[in-house]
Amino acid sequence: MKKTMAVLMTLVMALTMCSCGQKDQGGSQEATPDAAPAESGSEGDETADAAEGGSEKTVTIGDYTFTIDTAKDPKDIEIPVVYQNVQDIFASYMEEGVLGFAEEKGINAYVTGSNDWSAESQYNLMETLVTKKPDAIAIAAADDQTLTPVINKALEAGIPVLCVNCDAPSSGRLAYLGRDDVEAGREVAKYIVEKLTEKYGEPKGKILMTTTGAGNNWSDQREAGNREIFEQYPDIEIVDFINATGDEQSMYGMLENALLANPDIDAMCNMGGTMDLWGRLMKNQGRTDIIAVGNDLYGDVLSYIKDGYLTCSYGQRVYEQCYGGVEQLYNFLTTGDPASFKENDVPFYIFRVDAANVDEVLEQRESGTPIG
Amino acid sequence: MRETQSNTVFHNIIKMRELGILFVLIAMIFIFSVTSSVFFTVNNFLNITRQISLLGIMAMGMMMVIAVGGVDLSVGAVYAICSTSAAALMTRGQIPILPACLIALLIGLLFGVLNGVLIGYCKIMPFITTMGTMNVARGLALIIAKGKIISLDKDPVPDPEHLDAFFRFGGGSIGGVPTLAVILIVIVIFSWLFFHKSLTGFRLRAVGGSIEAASASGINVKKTILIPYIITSGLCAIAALANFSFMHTVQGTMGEGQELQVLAAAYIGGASPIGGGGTILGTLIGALIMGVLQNGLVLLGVNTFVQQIVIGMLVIVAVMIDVYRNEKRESR
Repeated sequence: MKKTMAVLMTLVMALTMCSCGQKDQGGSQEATPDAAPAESGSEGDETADAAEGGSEKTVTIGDYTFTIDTAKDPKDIEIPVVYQNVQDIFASYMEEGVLGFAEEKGINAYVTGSNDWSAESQYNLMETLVTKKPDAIAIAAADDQTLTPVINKALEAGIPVLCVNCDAPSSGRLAYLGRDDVEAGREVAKYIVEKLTEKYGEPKGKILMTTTGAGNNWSDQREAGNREIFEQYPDIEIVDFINATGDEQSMYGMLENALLANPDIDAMCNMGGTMDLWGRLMKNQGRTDIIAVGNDLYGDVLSYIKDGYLTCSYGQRVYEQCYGGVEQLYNFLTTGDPASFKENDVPFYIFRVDAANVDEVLEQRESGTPIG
Repeated sequence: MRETQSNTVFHNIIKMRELGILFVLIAMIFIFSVTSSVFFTVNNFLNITRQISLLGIMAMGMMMVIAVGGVDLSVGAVYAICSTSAAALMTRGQIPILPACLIALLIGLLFGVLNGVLIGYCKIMPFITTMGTMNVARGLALIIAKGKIISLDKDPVPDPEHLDAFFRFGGGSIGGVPTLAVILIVIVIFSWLFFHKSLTGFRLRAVGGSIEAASASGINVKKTILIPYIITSGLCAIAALANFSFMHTVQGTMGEGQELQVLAAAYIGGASPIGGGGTILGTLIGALIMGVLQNGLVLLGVNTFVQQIVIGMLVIVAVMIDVYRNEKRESR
């Protein structure tokens, strides 16, 4: 009996560490499937119920019907934003955008997700959220094929869902805010080819490719875009592909070893996650001769571009993705207007920073503008 | 007579070593039911049983490994290599679905044999051995997957007429119960019969309790140690195929960190780090505790990091109880 009490007390202690959370929204959101799938920004049908006060609306967008209480108290509006790995630093940049909007409007929007990159974990989390029935969900899908069934399940349950940062185009998601990662990969590769041509008078050279997420949607798509361009030039050689994993030290070590094995590379092409570390490596080795182009602007990437250790990096406007995603969902929930969901502006989210504009971008960051 | 029988049943319930963690599970269900209006629903419980199925399947094997005084860190990696092998054989290798699955099962069993032989016969420490095989299996899984996701919805198989049956294996339902949960129940039953009712199961516990005493009583210790590693890896292969059937996709990184989850479920369920202990029912309850916790905390909107803290504390408490229990036993 003592053992049992000890365990129970520990459990109670552990559970009291958790915030008791909010009352579940529950709600009577239901959906009935209809005709053709909706496209981002498409129109829907809207009918206002003759309910008390007239604040309840039934809206059909493509296959899905949503029952919205447009007069709901903002503090009762719950919008989780599901990322792939909340331990990753990128999640904190997403959180800036999410909380930026949440605080403005006084709603309960937050970033959640598992602690690994696994699509299965994200699937399980989404499934639990469908049971929980928040007012809406935004998700950065780990994988289109894996997450489509559960995204559709959420939509069928009457929960509006859109994608941010990573898309699930096979699903019925109501909108997508983010880059086309294949196009982003092409842009990175074209920039490298341009720089190599400046160096040699023709497109040739040795390239090291690096990522921290081989096998993840975002990395695979960027890689596909990179290779599509590089393959057009027979004198461009990809000497190695490094998937840097583990903690920072371990990742830094892998990059260092790759450079040691290939000291004569002309360029480093990054899919994501290694720009900051590569900049640090170049700085530690005093090298500004390698053309380093990749993705993301967090950490000291901007400073490394300014100092010449990195050449160029493409931001995603992650703050705008997440702020905008939550905003579109909020607008829909408070108006019931299907036009709340806008067409995605892909070029807007592929935003280049190099020597030409790094000072301006650094100034913006220093003045408090979120840059990512 | 009836009174005596009911007293015996009641007495047996009270004596159950799993009683403590069963109370914990019930308490958690109660707390979450009170704090979340959607926790105590059929749909949510079905979700939980499906979500812990794979964990539960692998934890059954892990408990038996722990019972012989060992540990298997390669479960996540074996899970990955079995998944990616099956997927690659079906899509790139154009091998029909059933033979591809059987080959993947065989690959899982071979890893189990490797672990068991190195630990049981070559006497290499389980931690070191399975850490090594973990890295080998993981590397192979990544090579096979070529860093990409393999999807049955995109990549053709030679026998598409069998795809539906394959998808139903992990993604269907029987009487409304997800087939993943049904597979777990079947494996729990067979595991219980094997571990608690068979001579080999008795030998596992005997070896875990004391290798010297087991050897002195005529038990083939090396062979006895080999068996649970084969079972564990075989169960990982089954879990991998079930998951592949459910998700339709695999990637080389799947199962990363899974070994810690599986170990946690086994320890919370009462498996003894010093060997000899553990029960099938306890392990099932351990897996359920983890599933209920993860589900309940999400429904409450609790930070994901807090879940890790709570699970860590549960593992510590479970091991503390085991140490206390062993001290009591030795002092008699």
